[in-house]
Amino acid sequence: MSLRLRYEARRAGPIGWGAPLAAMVVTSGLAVLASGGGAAAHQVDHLVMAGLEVVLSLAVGVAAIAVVARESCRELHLSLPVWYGGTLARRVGVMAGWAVGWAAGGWGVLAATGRWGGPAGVSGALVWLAPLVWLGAVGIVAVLLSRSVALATSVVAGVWLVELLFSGQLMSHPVGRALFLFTTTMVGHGDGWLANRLWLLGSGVVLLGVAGALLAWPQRLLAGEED
Amino acid sequence: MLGQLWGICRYEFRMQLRKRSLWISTVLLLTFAVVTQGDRGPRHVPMEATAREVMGNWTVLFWIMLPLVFGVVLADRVVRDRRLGVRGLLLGLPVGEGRLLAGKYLGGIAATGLPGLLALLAAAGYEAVHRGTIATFGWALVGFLTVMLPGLAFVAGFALVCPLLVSAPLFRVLFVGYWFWGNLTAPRFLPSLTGTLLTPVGAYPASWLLGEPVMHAGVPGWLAMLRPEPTGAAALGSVALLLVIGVLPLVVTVLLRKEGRA
Repeated sequence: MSLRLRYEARRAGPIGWGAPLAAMVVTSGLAVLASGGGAAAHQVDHLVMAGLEVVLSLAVGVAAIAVVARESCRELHLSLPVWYGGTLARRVGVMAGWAVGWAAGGWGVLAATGRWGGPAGVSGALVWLAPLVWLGAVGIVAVLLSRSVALATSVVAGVWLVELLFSGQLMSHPVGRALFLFTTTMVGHGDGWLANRLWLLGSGVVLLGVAGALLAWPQRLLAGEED
Repeated sequence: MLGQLWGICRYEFRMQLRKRSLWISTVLLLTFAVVTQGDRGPRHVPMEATAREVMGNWTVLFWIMLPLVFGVVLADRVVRDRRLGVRGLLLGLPVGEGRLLAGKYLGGIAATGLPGLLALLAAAGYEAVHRGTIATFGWALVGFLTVMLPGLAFVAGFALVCPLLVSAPLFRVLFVGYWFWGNLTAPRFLPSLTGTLLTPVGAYPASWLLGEPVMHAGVPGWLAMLRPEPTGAAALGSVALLLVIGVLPLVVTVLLRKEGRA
């Protein structure tokens, strides 16, 4: 890892590596609980896949907010002849890369042992990659727009919970279906699954573009709500 | 002594109340909930239903979502003293650690509870016009006092203290995950605390309010002794347990701080 990336990893702070790790620990813990509670092997496998799709994306969404907001010397950064957006992108990228590493590891282990219940082949990565990118991007845009960690975290948490609780209503609407985060876990990977993943990835990339555009006025970040 | 507690409480209340994130997050999340509630939501309760049933449904819908905001907002209230470097200043005041924390706790509960109460009263106003009865206001208050307030007291105790151990951002991630796993996941699907007396989502008081078991209250599962039949007495027991356990983290923190370990 280059010196600069190592520096950004340290600047991302404990939340940068702790949140994805916590998501994996929680997923493993739930799998052990379910297994101990008498769940069948295929149910436990489905739970692990759900952890990669559902739990990890929440961790990345909230961690992205904290990584963007956590800067005690932002004035100094803004005075440097370097685009601040690039600095933030590297920092978030290190955190996201760490999360992707965990997800790819879990996916790889399940696939190698024949226990992966999602789509076969490379497209299986979209099970966890699409919601991870989308919720991470929503978190970044929310914190840049609101300049409030609490508000941005509530938005990410609210979207996450609404998608889990009211999946029926969301899936009955074309827009809700296209942007439904947890299709593999709640519905499966039949018709429309790939389109849903591509919509999520595409709109996630667009949201990241919006975040880049918002950083054209980085001085806005100087007057956020203290939290 | 009580004057000091009242002063700290009032100060915390006013500080929290001015956080725009509290109000905007509440409105956003409740809008999500109202828009996506579906056919089983409170807007679709039959016209012949009683005011108690109607407001019970609104309380349940709101209280599924609102703790996310409250837990997230309250997570930084104690750790920020250290971050802002004012902890030494506060310790220099002639106010004990316990009173300081108690004031933050009570003030935080009052400030975060207010948007919840106002949301319920707004729903009661809508239903009063829609159904032609002002009894909805009374049941909104009952819903707030029996379902929301004990749950909020429970969440607030942990939200104030746990970030001292795991940092506020990590607490927020874990709290949101806990909220879904420990309050809303069906116990038949996964071993969880859902449906026990210890669920701050208020499964037992909500069941009492609605007159039928809701949110998996009493459903067989993990920790069977915490899953009695959902009755009025069980609801009262759940409220008492939530209030007592909500204070425990604060008591432990004060004791540890007196020993210089937190």
